[in-house]
Amino acid sequence: MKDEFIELYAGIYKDLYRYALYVLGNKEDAEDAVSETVVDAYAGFEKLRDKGAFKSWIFKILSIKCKRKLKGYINKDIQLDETLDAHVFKDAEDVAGKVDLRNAFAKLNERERQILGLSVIAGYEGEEVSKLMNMNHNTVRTVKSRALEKMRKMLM
Amino acid sequence: MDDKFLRDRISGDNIEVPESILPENIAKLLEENGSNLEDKEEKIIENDVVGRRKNNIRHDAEKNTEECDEAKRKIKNKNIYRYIKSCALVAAALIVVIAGTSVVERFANKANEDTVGVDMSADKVMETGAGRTALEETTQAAGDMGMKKTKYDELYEKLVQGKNIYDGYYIINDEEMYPLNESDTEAASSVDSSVKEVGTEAGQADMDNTSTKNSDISNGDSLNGETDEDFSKNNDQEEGVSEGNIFLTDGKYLYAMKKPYDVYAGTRYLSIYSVDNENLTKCSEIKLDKVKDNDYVSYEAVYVDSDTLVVTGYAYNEGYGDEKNDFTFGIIYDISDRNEPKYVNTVTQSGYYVSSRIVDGILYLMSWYTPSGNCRQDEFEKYIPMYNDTLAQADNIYCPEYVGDRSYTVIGSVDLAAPMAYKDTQAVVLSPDNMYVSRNAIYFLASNPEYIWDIYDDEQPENETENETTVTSDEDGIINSYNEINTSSDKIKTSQEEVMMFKTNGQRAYDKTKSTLMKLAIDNGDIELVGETQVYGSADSQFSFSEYDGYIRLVTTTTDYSSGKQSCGLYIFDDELALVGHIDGLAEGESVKSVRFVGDMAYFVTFRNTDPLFAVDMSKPDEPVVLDKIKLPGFSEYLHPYGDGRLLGLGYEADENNGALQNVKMSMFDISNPADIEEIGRLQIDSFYSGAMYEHRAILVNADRNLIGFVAEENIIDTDETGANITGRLAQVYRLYSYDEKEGFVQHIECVLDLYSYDYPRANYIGDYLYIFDGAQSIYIYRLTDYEFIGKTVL
Repeated sequence: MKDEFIELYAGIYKDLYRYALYVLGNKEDAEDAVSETVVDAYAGFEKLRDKGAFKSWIFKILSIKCKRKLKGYINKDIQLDETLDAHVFKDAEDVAGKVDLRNAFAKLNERERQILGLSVIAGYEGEEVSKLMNMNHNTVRTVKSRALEKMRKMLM
Repeated sequence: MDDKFLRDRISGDNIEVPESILPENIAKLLEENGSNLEDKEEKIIENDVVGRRKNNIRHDAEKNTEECDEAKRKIKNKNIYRYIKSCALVAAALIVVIAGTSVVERFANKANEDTVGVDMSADKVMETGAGRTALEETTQAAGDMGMKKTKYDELYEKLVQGKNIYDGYYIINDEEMYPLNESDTEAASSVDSSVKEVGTEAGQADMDNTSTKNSDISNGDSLNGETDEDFSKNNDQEEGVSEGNIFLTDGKYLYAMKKPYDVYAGTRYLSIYSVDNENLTKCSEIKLDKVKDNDYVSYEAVYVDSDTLVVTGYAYNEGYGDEKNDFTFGIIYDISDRNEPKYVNTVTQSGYYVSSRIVDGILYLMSWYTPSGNCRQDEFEKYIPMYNDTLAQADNIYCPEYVGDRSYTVIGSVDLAAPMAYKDTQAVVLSPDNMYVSRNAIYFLASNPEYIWDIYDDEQPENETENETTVTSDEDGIINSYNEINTSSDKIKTSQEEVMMFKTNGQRAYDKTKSTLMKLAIDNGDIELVGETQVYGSADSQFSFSEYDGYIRLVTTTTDYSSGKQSCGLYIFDDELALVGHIDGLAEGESVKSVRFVGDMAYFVTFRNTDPLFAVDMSKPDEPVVLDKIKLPGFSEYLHPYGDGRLLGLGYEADENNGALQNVKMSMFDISNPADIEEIGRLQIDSFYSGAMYEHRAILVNADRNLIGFVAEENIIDTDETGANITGRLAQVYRLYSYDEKEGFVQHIECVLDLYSYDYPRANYIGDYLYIFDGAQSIYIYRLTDYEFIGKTVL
């Protein structure tokens, strides 16, 4: 059981962390979110019959964890953005190109980050994203294309 | 999708994953979180204090009860650390609370008396001997450590800090509560086949029923009969439940709330006119000005309750996002002398205006209050609703364990005979989409978003035994999850039975819209939370609800998210919100457009391209039966019983092929035989929109006087005397009709209003005169004997 879980986890942990980091924009919170996800996922693991669905299932948990953390940032947008910038700039010294990317991502709003994260990092289809975000499918599409457009402008 | 560029770049971003969550360290992480499993003390605290998380139960599905408990603890253990941390926080916060004691005392609330221990629901206490001890220990321990957790603390944690926010993660899958079971197919088929016989028996019996009920209703609704005076009553949904209006009459006087063109600026006046046929004499004028120095005031409704006049509305300050200052008010005047209204009092409560009612001399104010998302725990006034600048009492606030939204619905009652203070208050953490008030209760319906978030959906039930255990533990879970945090635990009824009722079939019905129906009993100003339950779908308007004979009936539209298809259903609950009967899966692909309950019958219109009108017999509440449905082009947005065996519909014509809306239309339905309803009259109006369909108080309907009046919008072409200058404008036109069995709808008055008002113009009659208020400043007077225009009075 545990071995199987760890094996499956090993296949996607980078994406999980990447997702949390991009969406939350904060290393500590991303780490927290992933470890909480691991604990919760493991607790429910035996109930997951179709282990092939592991990735989408654990991403579902993670996305909710992140959503919660973002909710915790309510009315704290300014502080959040500051930490984001601080975090990003600290990294900027290391690998310039990659950080541009994260920096650009951080400039998106919460919703855009989540939607892009879900579709680009977690690999969800449009319909699934709209379900996870509890949003209208068309809205998701609009937000996503707008976010992509923003990213493209910032990156290219 | 053209997001490949981004995907490539992101996957090329070789992030450094923190050590703690590397796969090789995960085993350790998991062990840490399961290691203190045997620690009894923590287990107990955890189980009883933090417990009742819905997902815990989910994991227990395959276990027997003992193992179940064990598993519960196991899963909960991971929270112990967090729990302890939060205890420390609470303790720290308590110091603040103690420091702020004087404040708290001033507000004379009982916040500090509500301990965690008391918060425990009865079933927890009763559970087992061990449970009891555990509870006592917990309470004891909490007390010893000085960690009394007040209701305010709890609200702070949930609403400000966002703990236990109901994002569905902790929601077990209780979607299966209303499976589309045989009764639906039965019901559906009965439309075609069995209806006929049911129709002839029950329908026959019902005819008499319905007609008596009809006249009851119309008496209550808008008729005044031919007693002493003959004047229009407000078009309230329920007799005895006054909904207020901006233009009212009591048979002798007209009360009109004038609004300036810009409704959010300038001064408003409430004018009282004494009426002598075509002559209006101004008695007095009440200046509706700032309320408590707030510049922005929206006046919503006026009530006249014999010699008391009430104005309700809300006020806010123009400030940056500090909506916490919004408050809803009721201003009470003594108008025993219409010439000299006397100001009596203003009551206020936190939040935006939702609605208000007067029932049996008691004013009920409903508002919607969102607490600050960023405040200190001792800033009570930023997250606890206030009544007349006093904090709501802790035991008058109900907060479900998991909340879907941070906002409260705030209710206050004021006895108009003793209007200097609130009589009772009750706030619930809920954001309803619909509200309905009967003479006995207030109902809220709030849609639940959580269905989407059920992470354990992927699980498939595989064998029978397992399923059975699932049900048992789910049952447990549901009891837990619906149990109140409230101290007065017996007040709230769990929805366990309802859920169980639907479990019999065992079919799963995932991903459908679902709402919480909450009931608060009102009795002479006392407001008491009765309970809450779950229902599929969401409602169209207050007319989707009806309380009758102790039952609450409602019609909803449900969206199935897997197919994206809508369907309609009717649900009947008893006075304690236990489900008695239901029909669902009706009108697939369509949504409910209008509903009217007439005694034992429900009539509702659904729409996609055409307009099926359903007639459902609920004389046996446990077995509602669709008696008939007819398909017509267009649909009705509003239904109103019109004398014996007639139902008036106001709505739109629509293209039968694509459902595109056309002109406003009126329909008259013959419902004298509910098993065979038909449309007997129809009139298309040269207008594309009528706001009155969405504001029933702007509709005048009186079957006895045979009057149907409402406003519709159209483009008017004005020509000057020479005929050379033609100008077009959008105008509101008030029309008055009667209905004749032979000739159908007959138009008598067409009054083009000079001014376009955003408030739907409306009319009242007294005796033989009709007074049309344009919603802003003028009254147009018509004589009803010959429908002659008499004149216009500028108020």
